[in-house]
Amino acid sequence: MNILPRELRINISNLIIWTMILAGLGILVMVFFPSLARQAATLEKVMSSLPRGVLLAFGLEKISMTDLLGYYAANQYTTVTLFGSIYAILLSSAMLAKEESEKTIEFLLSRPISRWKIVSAKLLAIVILVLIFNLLITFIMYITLVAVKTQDFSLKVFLLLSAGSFLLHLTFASIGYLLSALARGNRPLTPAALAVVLITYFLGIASALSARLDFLKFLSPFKYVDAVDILIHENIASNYLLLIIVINLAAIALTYLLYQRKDFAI
Amino acid sequence: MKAIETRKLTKYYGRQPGIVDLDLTVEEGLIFGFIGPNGAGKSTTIRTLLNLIWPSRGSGQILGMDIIKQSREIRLITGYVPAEVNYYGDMTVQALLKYSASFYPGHPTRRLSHLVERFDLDPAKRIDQLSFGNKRKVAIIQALLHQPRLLILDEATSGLDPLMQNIFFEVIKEENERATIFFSSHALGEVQKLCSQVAIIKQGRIIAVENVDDLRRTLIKTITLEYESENIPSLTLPGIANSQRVGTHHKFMFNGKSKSLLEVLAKSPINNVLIEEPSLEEVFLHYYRNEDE
Repeated sequence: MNILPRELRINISNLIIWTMILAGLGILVMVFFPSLARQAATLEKVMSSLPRGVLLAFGLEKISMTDLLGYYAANQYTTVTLFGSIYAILLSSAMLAKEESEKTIEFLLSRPISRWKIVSAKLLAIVILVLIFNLLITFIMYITLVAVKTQDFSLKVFLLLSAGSFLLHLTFASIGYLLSALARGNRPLTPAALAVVLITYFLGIASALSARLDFLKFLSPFKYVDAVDILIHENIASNYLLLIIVINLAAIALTYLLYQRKDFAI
Repeated sequence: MKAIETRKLTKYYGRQPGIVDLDLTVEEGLIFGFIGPNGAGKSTTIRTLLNLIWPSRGSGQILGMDIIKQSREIRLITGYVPAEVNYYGDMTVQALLKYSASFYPGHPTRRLSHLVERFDLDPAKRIDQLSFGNKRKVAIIQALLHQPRLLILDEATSGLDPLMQNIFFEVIKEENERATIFFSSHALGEVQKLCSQVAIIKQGRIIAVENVDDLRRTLIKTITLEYESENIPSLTLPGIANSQRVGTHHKFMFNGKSKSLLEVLAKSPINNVLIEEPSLEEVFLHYYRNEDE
């Protein structure tokens, strides 16, 4: 295969930049943990003085900011899930659509390669890139956590959080890939891709605010891998796992189907 | 076996017809011209043949293979130079040609460097720094690299300077020894130079398939004469049609003997003379009027 190496090569610098920014932010945030932990009493007081809505929205009423993983989940995990999802969806939504916007699709499609293989090669590139992205960040954050810890933390919960953000990124990557197949001509996809992430993110926040909005959590993949759930239950709920698998498979299957029947306006 | 054979091949873009009930047969081994004005459906035909777009109805075969079911196999033995060349700007010429070659079996390293040299390309140059004509050369080379049995050329000479066009025509004639050439163009002159048979397409329909020799016999020039005064003498020569006199100018179509025209002109009080290839429309109008007669 030749499409896969090319996609990996041209996307690697972007991957490194995103990784450096998110891991850098994570290190910066985690470095403050030891001093926070020393002033635990003061912090708890500040936290309890925050409006209940804020605590609910960010799941802070159930997790302790003075616990290493609690602090990690409330800060770095939120950042990585949100911005990592943006990275993943921007990557995947451009993957097929860029061939059309740059009109190189005519070149690609006149090679002796089936559309099925084009979609597969590019999908594989996305999965590999998102996997490398998550492995790098997980590795860097693990070292950071070990460096700043004041007492031992649960490796299992840490890895569950890492797996959670990986699954979330994959889900947005699949949705972005579907967008990529839906794209017509060279209309830019970035706004739609960003909207998908941000809207589902805010739906997730809204779902935590009141019991009447609770149903919204099913519309937000962020809630499928919610930090609070993972910290408390030490697993990812199986119904959410199932939902993640279904969304991913459906989006990918639809992508194959649509791309196969697509007419390319060149 | 036919190189190309379509039956009632039709493509609608929404309600807009691209091609309608196209019955096209191209015998193997020919250099076959496919000619028509811009927007007549030439590129639509080619893209349907290569399954870049799906036909609305009808069917087609290339070298005995179905254009939909066996599209991949067809593309394996087909070379295609598109009307608009759009390649990956970040690649060098060499990298693009290698990338292209990687989709086909074999490693045509020698053929690649030979063709790059013949078309006078700098292999180290980036695609996005190439001129229109040089991009065209890259497109031509990638189409030839895997020694296709069918070469589909869509406006393949546009952007090439006359010298390069001649090299290109030479290469095409060499390729023709083992490949059928499907040569789509809106310029009659080059079709006439290369092709033995030509199909004429207009508004998505094939209106005629002719031997080029027959076409050539009726091939005409547009002549514009500028006289010293508005007192324009009448020319008495066989082969003059559509005569128009405006001011000091006399414009007409001519399909008689060039020599006798020049002899007459030599004795006329003219300031300037312009001899042009007529537009395709003009030729066909003339051509079909002649047929009616």
